Amino acid sequence: MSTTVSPRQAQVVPIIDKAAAAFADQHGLWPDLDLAVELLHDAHPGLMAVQVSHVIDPESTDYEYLRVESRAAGDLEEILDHEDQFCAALCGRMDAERRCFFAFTVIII
Amino acid sequence: MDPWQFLIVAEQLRDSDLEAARRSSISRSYYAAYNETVTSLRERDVTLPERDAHEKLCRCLTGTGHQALALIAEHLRWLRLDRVAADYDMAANPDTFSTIETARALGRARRIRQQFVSVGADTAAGLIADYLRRTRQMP
Repeated sequence: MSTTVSPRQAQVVPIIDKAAAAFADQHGLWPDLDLAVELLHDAHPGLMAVQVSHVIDPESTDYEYLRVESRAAGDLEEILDHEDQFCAALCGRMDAERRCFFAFTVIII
Repeated sequence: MDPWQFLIVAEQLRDSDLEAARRSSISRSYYAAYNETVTSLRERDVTLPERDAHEKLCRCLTGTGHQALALIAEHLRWLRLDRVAADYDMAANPDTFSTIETARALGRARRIRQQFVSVGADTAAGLIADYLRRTRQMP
């Protein structure tokens, strides 16, 4: 008997460090983080891993972020195009005030 | 100085064997895009306060409600956080500063510039000035 895995089930599970989880709790960012991971999956077919950490801006302690670092396979132009798609989708689906809590980066593998 | 000269330096450093040089390449890519944007606005009499100017630029671009400027804001913020990691996070995984990542930062800086040019500096400056007048204070 064959087993079918739905695309949702096949999603990469993000690794979230304790400080990032506490920051997400504090600001109620879990739904936004779920949305961001969903949009990352949609935008980057080669997504392999997602890691979330908490960053206090070293140049201004007024600003703190969840840094969402993804690893994805693909060539440079492809990844840049996917980043543009992701950015457009994020701006369409997440409020600007919430987006300020996030910074995304994709490490190309 | 033409701020885009920073991108020439970023190009020169991008393939270095030395991690510090590749980190500097990412940093210069950000400053090329950031200073190019700020200089264009300043030439049109839109000046951002010095304190927290980097994040405030992003918030102003987003606050205009213009879709393309909001995209530029996100790309600038993300590139800045890559730059912050490159400049400050000495314990970061060296993969974060590989030659492909230096190329990505360069590509991102170029796209920010292209997007800004396609909106038009006059349009962007006008929208940001309106936003600043509406809010009367920086976000």
